[in-house]
Amino acid sequence: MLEMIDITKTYRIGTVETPVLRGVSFRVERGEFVAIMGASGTGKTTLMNILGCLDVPTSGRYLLDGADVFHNNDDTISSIRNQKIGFVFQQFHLLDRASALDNVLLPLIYADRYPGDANMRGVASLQAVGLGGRVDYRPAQLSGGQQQRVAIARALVTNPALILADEPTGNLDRRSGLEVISILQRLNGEGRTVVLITHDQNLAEHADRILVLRDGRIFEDSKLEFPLNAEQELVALAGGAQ
Amino acid sequence: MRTWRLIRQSMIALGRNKTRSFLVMLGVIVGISALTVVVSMAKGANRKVMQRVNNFGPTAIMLFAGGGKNLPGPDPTVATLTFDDAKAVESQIRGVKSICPQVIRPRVPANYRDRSYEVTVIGAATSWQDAWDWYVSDGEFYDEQDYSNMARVAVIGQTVVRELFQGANPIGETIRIANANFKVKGVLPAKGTSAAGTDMDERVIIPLTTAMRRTFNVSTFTMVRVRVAAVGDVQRVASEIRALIRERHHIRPPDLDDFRVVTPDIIAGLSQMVASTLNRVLLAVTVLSLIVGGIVLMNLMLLSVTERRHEIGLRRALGGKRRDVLLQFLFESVTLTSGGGLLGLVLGVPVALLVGKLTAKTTELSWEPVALALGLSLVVGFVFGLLPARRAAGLHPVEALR
Repeated sequence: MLEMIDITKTYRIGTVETPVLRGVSFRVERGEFVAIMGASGTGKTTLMNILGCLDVPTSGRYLLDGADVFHNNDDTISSIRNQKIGFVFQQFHLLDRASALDNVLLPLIYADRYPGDANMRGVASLQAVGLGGRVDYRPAQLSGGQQQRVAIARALVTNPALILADEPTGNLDRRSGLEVISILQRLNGEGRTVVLITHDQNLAEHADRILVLRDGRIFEDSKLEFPLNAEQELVALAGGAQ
Repeated sequence: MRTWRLIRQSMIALGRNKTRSFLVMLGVIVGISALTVVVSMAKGANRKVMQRVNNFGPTAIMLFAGGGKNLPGPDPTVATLTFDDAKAVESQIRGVKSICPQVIRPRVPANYRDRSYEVTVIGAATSWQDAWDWYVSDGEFYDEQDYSNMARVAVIGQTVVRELFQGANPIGETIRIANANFKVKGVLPAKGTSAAGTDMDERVIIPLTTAMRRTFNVSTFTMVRVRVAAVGDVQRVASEIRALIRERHHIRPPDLDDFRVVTPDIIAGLSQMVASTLNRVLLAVTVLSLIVGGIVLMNLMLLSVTERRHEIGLRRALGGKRRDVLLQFLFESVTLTSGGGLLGLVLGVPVALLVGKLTAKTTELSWEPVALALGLSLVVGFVFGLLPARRAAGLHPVEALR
């Protein structure tokens, strides 16, 4: 589904070259839930930017859903982002004056063709994250967890090949975070490919495969037999509260 | 649908900073309203010039007694323009269709019963109507017999009718001018403002013979009105008249003319000069405030780009192309300035009307200032919005999202 082949990224400030990625190669199959882990400074963010087609590697190839991403001009790469990637950011990045629905519809504005059933699709996306009743709410009227769920709905609305979540629970309390992860797990269960970028071991263990990044290389690639189940943790959390 | 959503989002973005949006528009509002006033004044002035030239007569030349530079008021104290001068003009210059010598006396008291009013008395040949293209609308003009009899008859203008007769029928009534009784034979239709800016309807026309021998006792003319056959002849005939009269009056360089030759061109130039000085000042105000408005717009849009970096990054991440971001910011700039343009019109039109009411300046509203205002405000929005929009579009998505 996606493949990175010997990706390197070197930042250059003046004459000083700082290699951040030193040859990263891995594949992610359709329907996988992969966590990419790494402490800060390991090139995690850079890798995530390249995975999201937001930044260009210094060398290497990136195949995403059949497209050789970086053999294209900026406009085409923008289209690839639009069609194939659903972003979930740590800071949500919602437009604060727009309704939940308008936020969700934002990627469709940049689609090659604005779908005639856009509104229905937007509402369906919001329903998929449990916010069918909050269509007209502004971000400020929603809790942090709900805002992140709006962002997930926005990521879903274009029906992308890949959902790319960058520390999606970083700004949330444990309960809201688990809700977000449980949604990602459910979407993965429905066959969607999810890549989760995090520094948090516990969070990463909700994925069924963990890639550990260290010093700009894949240091470890391991499959989890029994990933954590956020749904059950939520039930346990509710039980503990009683 | 897509466009509508983008527009709505732009409006939301503009609505977020209402004060700032208003500040941006302010310069444009001032500029465009000034422009509206300027254009309507210019149009009004232009129409006034045309009207003055028409009142003067496009094929007319006036030869005034007395030198000087400015457009002369008739000067009754100068006694240099003689009957022979007029005769020479008529007989020696090719292209002269007709001449009409006149004796003019301004501010002569006229009375009717207990009412009195100061009028301009003009003693003129019977050709006066043709010379002025101005024909009586009521009653009749004095005829050759009145002329040779030096009859005390008069043809009066509308202001005189209003002031002395208060709308009553003056035909056949007797008015008193310079201590003599004159019978009103005819009434002239309203004409308005003369080339010199005076009321043309406060005139009383009497036979030249009566004026010269009986009323004012003079032997020279105040003015000779010359008609030429075609507009194209005016300049040539005017300079030939000047040469002829200089010769007849024995004027040699460096002595100055003791007469003035006035042509429609001079009338037009004089009126335009007055109008254009004012217009140039106002036009400078317009351009300046549009530029100021543009610079304010540019700075506030640049500020907005900085503030909305995350939004720009987000839009890029979600698939927005550079062009999409560029167009969105350009659209916002153009929306602000054209909004300012519209408000400027809303403000400028009543001001233009008010200026027309409160001052003697004529203003004329038409579609041109509207089109010009909207066009200019679009251009300002586009030109000054381009740099911020390009900066927004050039942001790297990763940097913008950080």
